[in-house]
Amino acid sequence: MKRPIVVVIPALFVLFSFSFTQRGMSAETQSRVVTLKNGIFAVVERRTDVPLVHMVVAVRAGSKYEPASQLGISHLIEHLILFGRSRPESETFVSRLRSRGGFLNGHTDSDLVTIELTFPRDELDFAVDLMGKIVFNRRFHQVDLDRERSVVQKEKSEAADNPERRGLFLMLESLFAGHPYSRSAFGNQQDLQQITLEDLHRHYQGLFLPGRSGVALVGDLDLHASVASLEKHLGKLATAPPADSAAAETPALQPLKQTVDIKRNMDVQRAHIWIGFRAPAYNHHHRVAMRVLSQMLGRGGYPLLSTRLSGRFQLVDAVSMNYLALEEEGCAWIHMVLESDNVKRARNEVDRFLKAFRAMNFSTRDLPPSRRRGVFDFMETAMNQLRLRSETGGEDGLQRALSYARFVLLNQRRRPKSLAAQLADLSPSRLRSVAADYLLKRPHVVITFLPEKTE
Amino acid sequence: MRRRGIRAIGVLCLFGLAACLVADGSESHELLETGLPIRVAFQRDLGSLVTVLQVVVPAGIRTVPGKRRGLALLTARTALEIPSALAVKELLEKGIQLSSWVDGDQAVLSMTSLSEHFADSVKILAEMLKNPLVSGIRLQRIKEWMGNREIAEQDSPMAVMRRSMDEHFLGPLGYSGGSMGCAETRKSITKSDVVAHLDNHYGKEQMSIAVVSDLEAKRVAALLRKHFKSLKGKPVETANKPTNSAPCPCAGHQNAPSIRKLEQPLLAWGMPLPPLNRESFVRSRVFARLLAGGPGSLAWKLRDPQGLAYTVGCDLRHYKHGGVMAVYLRTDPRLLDKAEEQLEAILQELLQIGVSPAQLTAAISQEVVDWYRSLQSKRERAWRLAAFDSNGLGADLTAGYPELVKGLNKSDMDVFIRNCVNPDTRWRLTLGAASDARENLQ
Repeated sequence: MKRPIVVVIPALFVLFSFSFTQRGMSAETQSRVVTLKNGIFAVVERRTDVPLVHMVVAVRAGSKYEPASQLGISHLIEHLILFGRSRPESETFVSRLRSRGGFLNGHTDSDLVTIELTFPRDELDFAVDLMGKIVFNRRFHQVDLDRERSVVQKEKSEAADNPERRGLFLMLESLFAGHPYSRSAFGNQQDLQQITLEDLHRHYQGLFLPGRSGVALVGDLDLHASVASLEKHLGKLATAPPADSAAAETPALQPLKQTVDIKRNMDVQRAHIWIGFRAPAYNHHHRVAMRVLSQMLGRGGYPLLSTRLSGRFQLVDAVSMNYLALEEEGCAWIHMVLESDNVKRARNEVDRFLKAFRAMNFSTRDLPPSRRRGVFDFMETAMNQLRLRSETGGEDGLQRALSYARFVLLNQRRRPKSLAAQLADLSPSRLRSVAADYLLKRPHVVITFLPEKTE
Repeated sequence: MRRRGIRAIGVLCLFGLAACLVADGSESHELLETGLPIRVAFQRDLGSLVTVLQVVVPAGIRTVPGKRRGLALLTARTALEIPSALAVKELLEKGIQLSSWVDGDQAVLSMTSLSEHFADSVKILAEMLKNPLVSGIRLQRIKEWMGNREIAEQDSPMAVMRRSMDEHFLGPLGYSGGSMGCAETRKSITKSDVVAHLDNHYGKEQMSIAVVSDLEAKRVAALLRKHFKSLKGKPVETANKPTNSAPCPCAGHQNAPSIRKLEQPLLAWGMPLPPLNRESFVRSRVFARLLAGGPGSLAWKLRDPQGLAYTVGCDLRHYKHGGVMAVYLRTDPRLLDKAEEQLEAILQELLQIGVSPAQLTAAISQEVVDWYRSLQSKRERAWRLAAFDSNGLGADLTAGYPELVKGLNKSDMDVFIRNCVNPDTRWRLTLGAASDARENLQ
């Protein structure tokens, strides 16, 4: 019998900025990366703070793999995985899980579908077995498809009621025009109506395979027993796609050729503006620089954009900046909520700010030592905030499991560095250069929602 | 060779010690001996290199008169105004997070920092509490922020639902106006109101503090002793008097709320909860879990198998003098009547037949897991410890909650649930359908 490959890799912890100096090295020795016999990558980590275990299965089956005529099929499959029955008359998996205290959830993004499970530590073997049955080798039923199709349409309508989500979808549509990243996981109503059970199975069988999956188990568990349970319940699953299954290729991403400016009306109280930029992908060496930039410009207690827009001028009620690193490309966006009368001035002010950023001194490292006293260091602030966010994010076992599952599937860097090491490598001039590359030189997308009553 | 072996054993012992510390970290707390008249609950947790400190004072919505609603939140925000430019620089550059909020009974001041910066941050926090910066300009800015938030919340069906439910059920109990009050009450609040509120409610004897950290208890105690000893005092008996008074002048609008037309209107049934004590706290949470606490709960059948909604949930707020629980869903306008009928049938069944043992067992199991799930976050744990101490439920409830939940039985739950779902006291709310304001008035 072939033994599972068990490797201890401290490098895994680059996901969180842990320093092992105070905690001892217990965390390091209590984690393993395993490749199961059928090729599933798995991460197992022991954390005993609460008597729970979190399990995540991530599959390379996000919305970017959907055929153009079946938009929304990945998200629909995620719903059926969670809420479909093994037989039409049988109990749902979530009901079986509920009686044992478990929680099941799932998400579909452009790259991955993730299925997430939290359960009491005593239920480990039951939960791993159940997860295997939920995610792989499923047969779906028409009654479940009909119901979930209607529920997904309601979910999509709820998102349309929310100005923030609606604006974001519109921004992504233009930012990645011509590429699957441009579409929301909800798909469109016409395609959803036409997807058949056969379509669903073809897509599912081509993508939801052990070889396209990563698994993470985090919590109060025994490492040896967990690896054995994974091998027993997931390691024997067949990995080859059937001959007639869907192809899993995505078209190449084309550069954005010109700036797009879209204005819409919506029945809301305040105007919203999104300014979207293409940004570094998940494995890009500028990813951490972009994280620091978005933190420095639009997050935390004292971001630069806020000082510019809501300080002296009071142009906005709120301003924030976010960054999402997808596998093939990332996106960053500035979001403002403001009075309609201020829309033009706020946009001009952001333009002026970004142009001036190249010459801005935002760190004491920009100054000679004699002039540093009393000068506020925005870069140091952002880096410490990121370290804090990374630490607090890591307290949640499910978030750790999600990060690990993403990491084992998406990471292509041979020697990933820890967050602390990457932050230490950054300099103000590097941030200026990354900002110029992504936020200044290239075309971008501007979406404005104006309250209907002002028109 | 021998030396290497000894070193290996030493390293293994360290691993074991560290593992034990992690294991013990989240299960119980200790009372920190600071020599100060402040109750400090401490919990060591090596799971992250973060220290969270939360201060809870009994200075919530109900401690201000109706015509000054908004004062509790305004004061809590002011309490964290950083007194000097140098302190601002130090706090922000170290990435320290400060936040404050209020609920019906309490105000919470929260500080989260990397543990390496805890000594500096606790020093500055103590300075802020000793000499709060109450300036007219800052108060005006906070009032503007509150006004903007109030406007933005009008775009959120959930926020409108919460505010309406609070006004309907909690308004008559002295919590009218919510944390933000309205434009009229905010305008009437003066600088001296804020100073008086700080003096009356933020004394060290009134504080319940909780710290959750990877640092040693001794070190945390020494830092608190050093920096908090000169905080102002206020005898507990003269403060903390509930100021139950006339409702917020703008309260009437909330009982007939309206919101823009939604693609998925919101339908909710609100129910009153009895005053907060250990028993009602545990029972109301388990009832919420049972009724609409995710897949498999009673109201979930509207989602699966009926396919009537995507969102089905339960919202809960519980204070010393009472609480409110709202079960809600969002659905197509054409399905509202059917959804309402189905939801009503579930509530009627609870009223007439009660809960099934299997449903109760499942709800109990999930509630225990969800409690542990929430306690993974140091911030959540610190808040629970300090808030339970402040509201009299006892900080030990944080660790003891799962056992209390497991001890529930069907007959006690049936009595509790029947009181909640009584048709005479329930209130239905619809948001986002045509002419919902008129309907909600009926």
